[in-house]
Amino acid sequence: MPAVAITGNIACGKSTVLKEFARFGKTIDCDAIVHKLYRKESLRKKLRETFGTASRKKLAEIVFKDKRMRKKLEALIHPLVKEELKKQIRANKGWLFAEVPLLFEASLTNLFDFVIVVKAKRRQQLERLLKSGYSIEEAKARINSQLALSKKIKNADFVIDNTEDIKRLKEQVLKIAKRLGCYEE
Amino acid sequence: MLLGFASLKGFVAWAEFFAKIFGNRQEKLTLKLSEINKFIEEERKKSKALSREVPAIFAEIKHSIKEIKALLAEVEKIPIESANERFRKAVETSRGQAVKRLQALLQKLEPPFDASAEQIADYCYASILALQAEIAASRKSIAYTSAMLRDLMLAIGKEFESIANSLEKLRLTINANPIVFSSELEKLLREIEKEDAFLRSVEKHADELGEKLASTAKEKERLQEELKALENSEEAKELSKLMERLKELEKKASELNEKLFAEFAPMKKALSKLIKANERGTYFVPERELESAKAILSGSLHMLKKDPKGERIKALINELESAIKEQAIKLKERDLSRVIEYCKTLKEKDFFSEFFWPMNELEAEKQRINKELSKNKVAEKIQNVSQEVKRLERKINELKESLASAEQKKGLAEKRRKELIAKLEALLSKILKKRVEIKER
Repeated sequence: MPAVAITGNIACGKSTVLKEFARFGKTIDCDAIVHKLYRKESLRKKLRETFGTASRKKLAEIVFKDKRMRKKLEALIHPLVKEELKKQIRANKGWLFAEVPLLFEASLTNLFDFVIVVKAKRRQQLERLLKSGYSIEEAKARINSQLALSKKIKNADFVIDNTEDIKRLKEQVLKIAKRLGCYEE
Repeated sequence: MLLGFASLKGFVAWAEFFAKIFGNRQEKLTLKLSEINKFIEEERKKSKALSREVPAIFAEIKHSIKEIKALLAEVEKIPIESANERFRKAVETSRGQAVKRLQALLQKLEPPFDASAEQIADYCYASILALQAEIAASRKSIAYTSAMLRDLMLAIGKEFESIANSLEKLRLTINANPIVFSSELEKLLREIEKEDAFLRSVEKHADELGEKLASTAKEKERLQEELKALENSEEAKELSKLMERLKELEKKASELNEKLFAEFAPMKKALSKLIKANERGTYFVPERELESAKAILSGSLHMLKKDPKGERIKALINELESAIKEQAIKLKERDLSRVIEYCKTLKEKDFFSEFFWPMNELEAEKQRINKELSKNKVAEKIQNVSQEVKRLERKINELKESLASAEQKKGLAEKRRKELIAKLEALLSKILKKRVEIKER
């Protein structure tokens, strides 16, 4: 059955969109997959060997400061995420919606039939990150570390504009669900 | 960001997992839902953020704003002098723009007066973003102005830096005191309160409907008993007998009617021809006899009421015989003799004792029964009570539907409320770094 990826940059509202799609099918959150992976001792061992630590907080500090280190960490994690995603997509029988933050960066597009990109204004992203506890510098660093939103939009089947209120967001989700054929009136 | 790598939610999950492995169980805090607001209020009182830290930071920001305003006033006053007229003009224009933009920015950075924790947090995030955006946007005009008024602009820059530092301090204070500043917490508490109020109103409505349903069912039961008693009463039995008798009388009247018209059956064709002959003008039939002929053909017995002895009928027979004789109406040979023979029989018929009198007796008996029926009010009572029982049945069905809908709404509200309480538990656990459990009672 069709698998739909929901992506976009940090603090654009991907999780909110995923929650809205939950009534049309099964949902997967890649964050949950990553959390599960981090519990595996085999990965923790590799992390300690490469980065000197397996602490997620410390790893975050390291990779956001150093692009090369980020690449190294991604090279470790992305194949494992891809494998797990493949498994879940194969096992699924209905519509499946997955929140995949690094869909393009990790070359996971070929696993999905449709791609939805959620967009928001940079100022909104910054504000959401500030509210999540990041400093303005940390917030900027996180936004800048991702592929430009315009490039993601170019490769999307659908774009959800999350610059307005939740009502407008829900309308867009419904419209896409109708176009996909997973919603019947 | 690495697949939600830095999400706090994930981090908490990871920390919980770690704690489980090493047996380092989190401290558990059980709170009553009714005491949550009081608990949060007390926790907030413990924090010095609102009473000391925020006012101190706001004072710093206010001081810097005052300093910048004074410096900008000075910047505006100083004449720009340069041998290069074009450059002088460019600096003057830039100065105007920079002063205007920075003054507008200062207005935005003005700390709110008597603000709530939520408003303070909103002010902090909006100010950090405004400062970033505005300074970046004014960079060019600031640079040009600085070319001639370097010291003043440097001083202004330092003050803005000081504001940025104060805002960062405010942000850290907000982060360090989530129990005070969490807008999510406020939002959740408001939502639970709203859901509680809705649940109470739905419950009240459901209770009212339940009571109405019970009282209506009781009233229906009472009326059904009343109906049963009415149906078994002496009056009802009498009514039933009268109704039966009336039915019998009507049957007899109908039989008598049929018998009378059976008498005329062989004459019908001839009578029709007589009426037609009168219409054509080939034979004149007097008005009264014509009426009798039409009444016989239509099957009405009323003519006997006006003509108890059947004299009009006999006069009509005479007219028929005379029309036959005058050949105003023509009949087939075999019909002719039969009709003539039948005319004689009818003329000898005693209509009074054979039809009128029995009919009269039947009518009299029917009238007597109808009179008795009109005196007997039990039928009306039974009808009224039956209608009332039916009305109550409809009302009970409507109430049942409304009650089911209210119960459904109640169920959904309870589910939403439970979800909100679970969210509140998770949020408080995160804020207080303890496993918080919220109990209803």
